Amino acid sequence: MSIATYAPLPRRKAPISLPRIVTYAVLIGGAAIMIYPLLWMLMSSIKSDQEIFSNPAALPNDIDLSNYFTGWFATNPSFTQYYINSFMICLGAVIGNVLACSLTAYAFARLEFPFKRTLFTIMLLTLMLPSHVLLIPQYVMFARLGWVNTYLPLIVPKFLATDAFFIFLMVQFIRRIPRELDEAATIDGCSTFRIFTSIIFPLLQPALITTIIFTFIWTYNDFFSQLIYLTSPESLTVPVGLRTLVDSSGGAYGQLLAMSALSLIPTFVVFLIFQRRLVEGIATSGLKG
Amino acid sequence: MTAQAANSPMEAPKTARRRKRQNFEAYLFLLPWFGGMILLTAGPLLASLYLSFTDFDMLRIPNWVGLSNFVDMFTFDPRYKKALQVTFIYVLLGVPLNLVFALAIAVLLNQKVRGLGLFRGIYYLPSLLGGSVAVAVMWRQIFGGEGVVNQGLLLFGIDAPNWISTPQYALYTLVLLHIWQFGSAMIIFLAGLQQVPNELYEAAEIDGAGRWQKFRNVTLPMITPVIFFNLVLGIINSFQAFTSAYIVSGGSGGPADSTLFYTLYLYQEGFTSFRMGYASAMGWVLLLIIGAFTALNFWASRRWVYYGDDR
Amino acid sequence: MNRRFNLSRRSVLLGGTAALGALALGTTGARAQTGPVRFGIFGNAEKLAIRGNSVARYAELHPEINVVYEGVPSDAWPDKIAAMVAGGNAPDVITLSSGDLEQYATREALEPLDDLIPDPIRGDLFETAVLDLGRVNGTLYGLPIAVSIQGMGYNQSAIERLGLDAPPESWNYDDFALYCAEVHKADSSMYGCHDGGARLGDLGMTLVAQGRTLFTENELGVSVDEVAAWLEYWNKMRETGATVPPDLQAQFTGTEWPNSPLVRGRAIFANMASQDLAGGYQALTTDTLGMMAPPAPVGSDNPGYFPRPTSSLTLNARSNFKQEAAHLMDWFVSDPESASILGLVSGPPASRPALEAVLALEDISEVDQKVLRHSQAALAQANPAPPVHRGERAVNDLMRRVNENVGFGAYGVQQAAEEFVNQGNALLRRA
Repeated sequence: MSIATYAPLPRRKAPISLPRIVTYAVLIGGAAIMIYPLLWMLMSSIKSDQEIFSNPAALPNDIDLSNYFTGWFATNPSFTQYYINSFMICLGAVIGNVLACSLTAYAFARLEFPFKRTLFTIMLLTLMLPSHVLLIPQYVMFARLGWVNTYLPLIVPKFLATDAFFIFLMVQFIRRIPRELDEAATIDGCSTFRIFTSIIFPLLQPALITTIIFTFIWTYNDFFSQLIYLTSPESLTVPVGLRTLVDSSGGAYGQLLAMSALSLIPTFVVFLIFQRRLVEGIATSGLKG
Repeated sequence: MTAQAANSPMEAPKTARRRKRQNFEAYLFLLPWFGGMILLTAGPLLASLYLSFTDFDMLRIPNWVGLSNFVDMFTFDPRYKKALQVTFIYVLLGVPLNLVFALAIAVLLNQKVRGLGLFRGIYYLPSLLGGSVAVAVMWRQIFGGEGVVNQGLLLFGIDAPNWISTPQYALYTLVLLHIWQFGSAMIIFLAGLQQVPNELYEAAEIDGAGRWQKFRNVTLPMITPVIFFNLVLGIINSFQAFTSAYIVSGGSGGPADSTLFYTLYLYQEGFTSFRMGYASAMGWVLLLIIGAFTALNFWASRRWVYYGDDR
Repeated sequence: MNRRFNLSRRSVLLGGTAALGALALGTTGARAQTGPVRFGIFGNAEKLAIRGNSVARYAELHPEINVVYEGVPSDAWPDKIAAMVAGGNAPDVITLSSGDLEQYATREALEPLDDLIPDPIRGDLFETAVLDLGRVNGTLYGLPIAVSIQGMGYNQSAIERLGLDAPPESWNYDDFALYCAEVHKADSSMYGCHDGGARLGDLGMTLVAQGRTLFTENELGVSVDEVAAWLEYWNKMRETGATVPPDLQAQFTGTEWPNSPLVRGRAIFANMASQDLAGGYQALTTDTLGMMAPPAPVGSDNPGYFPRPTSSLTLNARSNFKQEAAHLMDWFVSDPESASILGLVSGPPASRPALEAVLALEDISEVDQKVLRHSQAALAQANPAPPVHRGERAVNDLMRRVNENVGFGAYGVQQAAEEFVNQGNALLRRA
């Protein structure tokens, strides 16, 4: 397949055509279903707890933003600290996953070495064991390493490519990159590492963007391991804080919904920023450089 | 699986040295992964395998009990069969429907549409919510006895049951929840669509292909690696589905065990009943089940997945 | 064992003293601290803050001890504490519910407290019967924080709206069924009571009223016929609308109060642990709730009350600072100053001086007063607490399942009762 330098598809000034109307109708209709929960959450977050449960579907009686303020400071320390902690963990996890998983994926997708199939199978197997079964052995291990109550159990594994999901994802994308590119570079005398950094890595951009988005969001939402490995109150994170607001013995549901709504903002922003790179033609236009 | 066997027709002796060098380089690339495997992953993995042959209760030294956990599972335990059944229905319905929706919306959102970013964001929104408590509260507002769905049906004079807490329907509301959270698969499809070279579409247009034909003959074949990825991971993850049932049923798997996902039951046994040895055994049986499905997938993939990296 | 432990503790102390002393010199010149003594407890943000205040006050009074307060969201506590105990990394003071107390004590994770009485734990501040609630097979492992006793919560406003007579002071299950049926007759969208057939604890109370217990060693102390009669009673209740239909009940597994028929305004009555009325239910509804006696078995005037600790403080068997931790535990449950900080956050305090301190508080809310009045009266006629079995939670879930199966028409009553007894005994044996 030849790789031509590429300019965006010439778009005809499409008059309003039937397919386009259908497209918009489907998109808008679907969006209404998708956005309902957010609207409900926002609506409920300005209600009192009694109102939330006695009258869940109704519009609020009046607008009362106090849940946002009281919720933010309901925990000790406040959510300010939780957000800082969450962002630090997310940043570490994103960098780790992007670097370590792309290196590993490149080896599996392009290089030849003994036991490749076996190792690849082992990698996939790590995805198949339910995490609850691994929890206690993992905790014991991290406790012996003295890593409990630090961010190490949450970040170091990412730098050691333990997230097989992203390795497999990148393998699938690398395999769609034409091999002629590597071969041409090899003939030009490029080292394997050079090929990785100057050909594969840039062309892998859609997969890397996906990895960044997912790693950020999944780490940000990863209530369970943050709960288990972090103990001191100052080290806790947003999802743990959210879970603290309400328990089976009641609590502040309005504050929970207000804080849950707020907690969506960072993930939504990260998503909006990075999804822009997922536009038609990026893979080929990346070759120009 | 991933790589075709090293298959140069002529193995010149000169290449032997190059291969050796390449092996070395490959292992260098794999160094972080090897480190993680040996230092962090292998230990707990093997420990849980060992524990599956014991009566481990999380607190005391485990005693070896041989195969009795596995025997129990398939002979004595009535809830185990129920959990298997529930999980299989969930996987068989949820995975394909989730993928179809994700692909359809991804294709729609891969066009030049006004407000593209916002649309993508809105469609990804349910997945952002993940398994937060708010989802459970909200899901009841929608499918509960007096929920939005039933209020809508009432307009047509239909007096519908409480979908979430009737055994016949509860599982299907969770399947719906899974479909609704198709955002992750959608993003991966979107990323995959970026890899389809535009000249192929242009060529197809010159040949007079319509929208559907372009999709069928260009898009679909070119993104088979990504479809395959989503299928394999969809199956792996759905077999391990936990959070939605946990939060919606309050951890019970009810009503009447109708949403008792495999891992939810595993969790109950391990952490509520302190039977972690049994839970570990359940975990390894699940690994075998998922492994079998995945192997089948890889075997079948040779017939329909097109990579374009064959030499 | 203890002596050897003390030696090692001293060496740790010495080392710690040296290190901390060096640090302290440069700063405030404060004395070297012992510890850290970690205090682990669960709750929601509001309750955790209140509990933290008590521990913080202790730390203020005892600058020589480095106290660390670790509050964890309630529903995550079982997993976290299990991982921490398994990893040898658990806090020195561990708060456990009564079911978990049994689990951890029988698995040797907890330190027996008998030798720590009377110093530093002042056991004589508890009634013997109350302190015994912290015993497992005769050994004391837990200090009860607050005492829980059963009660029947009801929606006073709804009764008035329906124009029904106030329920009587005391009643039996037949009277109860009649009253509940009246509710449904007065308003067909309302039901009398949530579905008690799902509640193992309520069945247990009827046994206690007869001087029997639900668990005997590793067997259920109840026959197939008795279980069938229990399930049949609630089946009849469903038929007359005296209790909620099964789909309404299934939303409420017993832990998520916002989904309970009482809060949703669909039922008048709900059996509960009395402190839960103040600790949650009342906060979720605009109606006024009240608390009264649960029904007694027919032919008896004893509802079968028995006390249970709401939760207990226990001592980690692997703690390096057992004396200090025990001293902190004693403060938390018994000191009047701690009690006045905690108030009724966990329910009526278990130890005498703590209860007196709470009763003397002036700003007790109306709903808290209702709980206090009821629990004082109920405790006065309470029966001895039946033994706890560590398989109790599993059997409780089984009861809910078989009742659901009857409610949804999957099984007949007889078959459900047989399944309950067979599987229940199996669960107890393998617990």
